[in-house]
Amino acid sequence: MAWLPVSGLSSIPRTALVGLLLAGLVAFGLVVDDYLLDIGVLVGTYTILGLGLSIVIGQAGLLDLGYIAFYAIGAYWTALLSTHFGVSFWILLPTGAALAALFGVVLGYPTLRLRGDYLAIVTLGFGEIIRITLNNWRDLTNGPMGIMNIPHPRVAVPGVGKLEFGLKVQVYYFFVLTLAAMTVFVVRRLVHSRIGLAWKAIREDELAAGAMGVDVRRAKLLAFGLGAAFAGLAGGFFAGRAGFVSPESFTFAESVLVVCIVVIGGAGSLAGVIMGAAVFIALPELLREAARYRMLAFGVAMVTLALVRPQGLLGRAWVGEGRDEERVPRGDVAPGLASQA
Amino acid sequence: MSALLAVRNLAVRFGGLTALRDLSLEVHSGEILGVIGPNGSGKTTLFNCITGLYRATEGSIAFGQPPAEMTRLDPHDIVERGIARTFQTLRVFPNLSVLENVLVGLHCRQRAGVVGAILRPSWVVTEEVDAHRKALDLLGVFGDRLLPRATWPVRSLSYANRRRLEIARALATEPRLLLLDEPTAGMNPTEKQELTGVIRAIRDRAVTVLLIEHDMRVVMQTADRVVAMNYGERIAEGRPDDVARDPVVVDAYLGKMATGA
Repeated sequence: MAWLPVSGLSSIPRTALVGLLLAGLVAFGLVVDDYLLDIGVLVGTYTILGLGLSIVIGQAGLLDLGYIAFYAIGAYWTALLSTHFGVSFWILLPTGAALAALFGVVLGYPTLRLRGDYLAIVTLGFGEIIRITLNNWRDLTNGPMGIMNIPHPRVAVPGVGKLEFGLKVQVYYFFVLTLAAMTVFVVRRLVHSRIGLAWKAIREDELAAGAMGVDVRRAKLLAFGLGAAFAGLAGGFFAGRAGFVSPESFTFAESVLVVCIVVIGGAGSLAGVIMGAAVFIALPELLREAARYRMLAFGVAMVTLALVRPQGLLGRAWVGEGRDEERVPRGDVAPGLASQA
Repeated sequence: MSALLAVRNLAVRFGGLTALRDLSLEVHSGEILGVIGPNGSGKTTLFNCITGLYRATEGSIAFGQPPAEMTRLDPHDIVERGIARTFQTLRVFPNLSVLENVLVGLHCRQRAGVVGAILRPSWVVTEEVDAHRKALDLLGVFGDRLLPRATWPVRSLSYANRRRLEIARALATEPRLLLLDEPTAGMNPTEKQELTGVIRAIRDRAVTVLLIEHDMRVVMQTADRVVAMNYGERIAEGRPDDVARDPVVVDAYLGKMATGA
């Protein structure tokens, strides 16, 4: 929508910029070695997770600390149905997303009246319930041993035969790039729609949003459900690629990591989320030698950011201060996250 | 004249505190009804009941023709049926732009769902363009006060402009009845005079207005009828001049000692 404030790079045509970025990412996939591609796949996965969670936190302002549970649901759905019943990955991927969305709505429903800290505590609890269930329901999930030998995705290409994804990192790289690009597209459309505006209104002032005709309950459930759907999608991808899932991939620390990705980039900004994923996933991998100081560095970075740039790296900044004077806004809205976290 | 809104025997109690007791009033189609009364007399509580933010302990609120009961509905349902409000304690969305604030008001008149938002078929694009145009129109109600600031974040607006934006946002919901809660509070005399004109212009757009206002000059210049409240009860009703001169009302505001009674 043309009238919505666009980001700071408005002087460069946006489509050209996006095209350039995509070309760069494709070139990256064709050129670099498997190690770097592997990191690329991870960044892609966390980008999808971060974008999904940015709907819940960045748009609707609901601090969800149990988000990784939906990632687990997508992963286990794919793992269980493919190993037990031989269901195709291509059916399990979208249905896993749908199942996660359903869980998002079901778990979101009891939290509708909660705000801020209370919501954070309850969602944290939900996340742990899912993880502990996976850990202890041995008959279904094989407990902490996890589920092995999940079939990798394969596609039948007419005239060529079957393309096995197997362990070819490059194939997964382009696959996750496609999924992430789709996610960016969908989340962007949502954010700029009347639904996205309703989410922002709720984030700003829930009572006023309701009094202006926004169906707060419906909008919140939509945020929970749609956010969870992307986690379910990422989870399905993860299971198909790794061929193995276990509860330890879905700990509270993972939830916190995704929250960090969303917050560091600027909770209202989609580009910020992608950047956050790159920073939080790629940097630690590339700086393996300094792994001992990783958490320390994260801590320092987060505190510095909170002090220097509370709206996040790419959060919307309104230029100029003071009352009712001429000023030019730029970038996305900075959400009132600081008051919630 | 037919009653657009009929409040009957409304009572609101918070534990032992009675905020409204046995209050009845009618708002007629096309009029501006002023509600006056000292602080704490229950005016805003009445607004909160009508808009679904408070649940009435007793009584009924009927709106429209044929009359529909409002007391059990959610706030957003009430807005959809045609009642909008402003807040005395400004509740605009501070980190959204002026235009976005108004667009929130238009939200309930748009139909695009999740699929529509993602695929953006032409009807959704049309809907968005229409909403954008309507929002700009509504900002134009206040001349050049808001229009040049359409893309500004609301937290950079002056107090008076936020009050104006509250009204524009409420009008965006396309109400048949608009509840204004002290719209001129904190404004200077010039700004008050300007807003008086706007309130009359709103009525000319076929919107009925229920107006809480402390400034008697504004009330006199706008209201067709006035209801005076004290301690959650209606103590007077009638033409503005008559109510203002009513000894009961004067007593309520100034106390019996001050009037020498």
